[in-house]
Amino acid sequence: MLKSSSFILPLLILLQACTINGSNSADSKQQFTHSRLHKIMTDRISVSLDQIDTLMTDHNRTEVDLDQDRRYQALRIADSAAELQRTVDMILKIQPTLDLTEHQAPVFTKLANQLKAQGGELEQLARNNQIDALKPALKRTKNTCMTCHSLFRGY
Amino acid sequence: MRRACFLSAVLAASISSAYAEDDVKTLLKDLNNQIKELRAQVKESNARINELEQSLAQEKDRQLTHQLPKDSVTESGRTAVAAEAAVTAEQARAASNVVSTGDVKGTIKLAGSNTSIGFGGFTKLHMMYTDVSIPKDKWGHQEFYGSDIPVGERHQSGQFNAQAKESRLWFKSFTPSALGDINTLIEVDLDQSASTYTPRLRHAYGSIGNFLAGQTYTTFTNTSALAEIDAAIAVGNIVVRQPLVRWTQPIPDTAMDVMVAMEFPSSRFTRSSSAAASIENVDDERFPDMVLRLNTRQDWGNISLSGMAREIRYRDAAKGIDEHAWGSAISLAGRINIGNRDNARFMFSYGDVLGRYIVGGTYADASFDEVSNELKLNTTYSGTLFYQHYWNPTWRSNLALGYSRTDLPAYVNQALTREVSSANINLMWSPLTEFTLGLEYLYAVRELEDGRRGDMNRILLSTRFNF
Repeated sequence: MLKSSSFILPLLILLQACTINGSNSADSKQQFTHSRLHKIMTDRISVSLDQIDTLMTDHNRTEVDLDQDRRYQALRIADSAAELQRTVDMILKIQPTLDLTEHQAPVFTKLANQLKAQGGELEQLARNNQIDALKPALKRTKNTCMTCHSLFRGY
Repeated sequence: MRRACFLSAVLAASISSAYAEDDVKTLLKDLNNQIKELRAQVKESNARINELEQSLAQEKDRQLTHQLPKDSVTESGRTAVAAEAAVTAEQARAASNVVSTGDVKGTIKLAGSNTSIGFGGFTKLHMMYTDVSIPKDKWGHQEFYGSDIPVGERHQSGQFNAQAKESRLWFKSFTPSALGDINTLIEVDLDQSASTYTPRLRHAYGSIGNFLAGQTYTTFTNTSALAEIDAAIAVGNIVVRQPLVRWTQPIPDTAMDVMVAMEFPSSRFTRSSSAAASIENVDDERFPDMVLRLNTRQDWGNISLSGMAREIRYRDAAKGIDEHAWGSAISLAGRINIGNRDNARFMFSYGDVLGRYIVGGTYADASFDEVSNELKLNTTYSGTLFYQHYWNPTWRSNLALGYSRTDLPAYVNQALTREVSSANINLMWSPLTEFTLGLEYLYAVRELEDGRRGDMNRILLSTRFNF
């Protein structure tokens, strides 16, 4: 009897440890989801910019039609940039659950805030229809993404 | 988490120690080793992070130093630079009183004006070799016109040609207003006639908010679905520019809008007594061509459905003839985005008043029987499939397949065109937005009412310089 209960107790403790492990796994999943989300936003912006590029080769439509098409794509970019900023807000909210060290946390926060600011800049440029300024702005945003990934995700 | 696992394991091991002391010792030893390894990894990671942070900080310092003149690194130098920057900003503000960047791409605003203006265009050269000879007074001599494909005996085996008539110049303006954006566009090229370089008005229109008036593409066509080829227009595409008025009404809470337009009318006839395979314009209509178009635009592309009603009128005052008939046509067209840059386009049209709208002036709208004085509308149909593939951002290829056909009554001249089909494939290189070099192959077939056929092969080299 004693022998069997002595086996059950450590099993229960191990089970509890696994439960803790499970909740951390959910945090990781959440972190992964947010990372995926901001990648989707920057990818969407890239697609719109590529489609704006292709308009330069269109000799059938009028210049005014092409301007309207650029405006449409610019507004899509603005929407994606706004969504990108919301995603960064969510990432900042879950940051305390990310098991970052005291050295890592401020760097992570700084990069996240930088990404949010760059998203804001992209949105502003797009809403103001500053088409030619969008590509360099997106490049800066992507650089921030890559810096953060290389520091905290190893890629 | 690891700590929790570790504690749990240690606690579990302790309780079990009475029964398996040796196993616990081994387990503890393993766990100690693992902890040592993890500590080493954490130390290594922290060192790497510090290293990266330091290099980032150094890079920022380097950029700052690079931006400032060498003598400005001191505090007094920084003050001097700040003063200089203030002067520069003041100069920029002063300059903005003269001219500033416009609200749309490629435009500027003049002082005191809210209107953005811009002009541009391109020079375009076509050099081509055709395996049949086409007379110089025909459009097909320098551009592709299905109705000019020689049928029957060929006068010579081949022909080399070159032209720069598609060169284009445009001027546009944009002004925001309380009634909606005001846009204007004037565009000309040099393609007024087959054998000269006479300027031709392509577009001259203005729009305010949802209202547009002037000459531009017919509302019946979805211009984003037109094929991008070098040999003029693909068979099956609808390309007509004419005076019109148009209202575009967005449908609330949807990605859709409706266009309603009244457009310039012009009836094209063939008569039973015509000795030549000619098509005539009488231009004595009493009603405009009326067009209704429904558009939907989504992230994946767009689709449109157009309907058109036209009055076709044949009048010969000398003979006391005044015949008319109403007919209709529909067109389904769209552009589907595939990946970042590739796209597929299509345009299918059908109707009994479609003739004039088919590219190249190939078909008549109606036939007139001068024996019975009967006007018959000609049923016509056409289609184009197009695919654009980007090999990379600077290289792309286009493939277009087109077909069109009209059903004519038996009494018309049998040398009239019954159907045309074509295939174009090209390779375009645009290393800069200002320059494109293209190479295109075209194969086309024309069939007459009497069944005779002719075909042509053409290779085109094109250059386009945008400005």
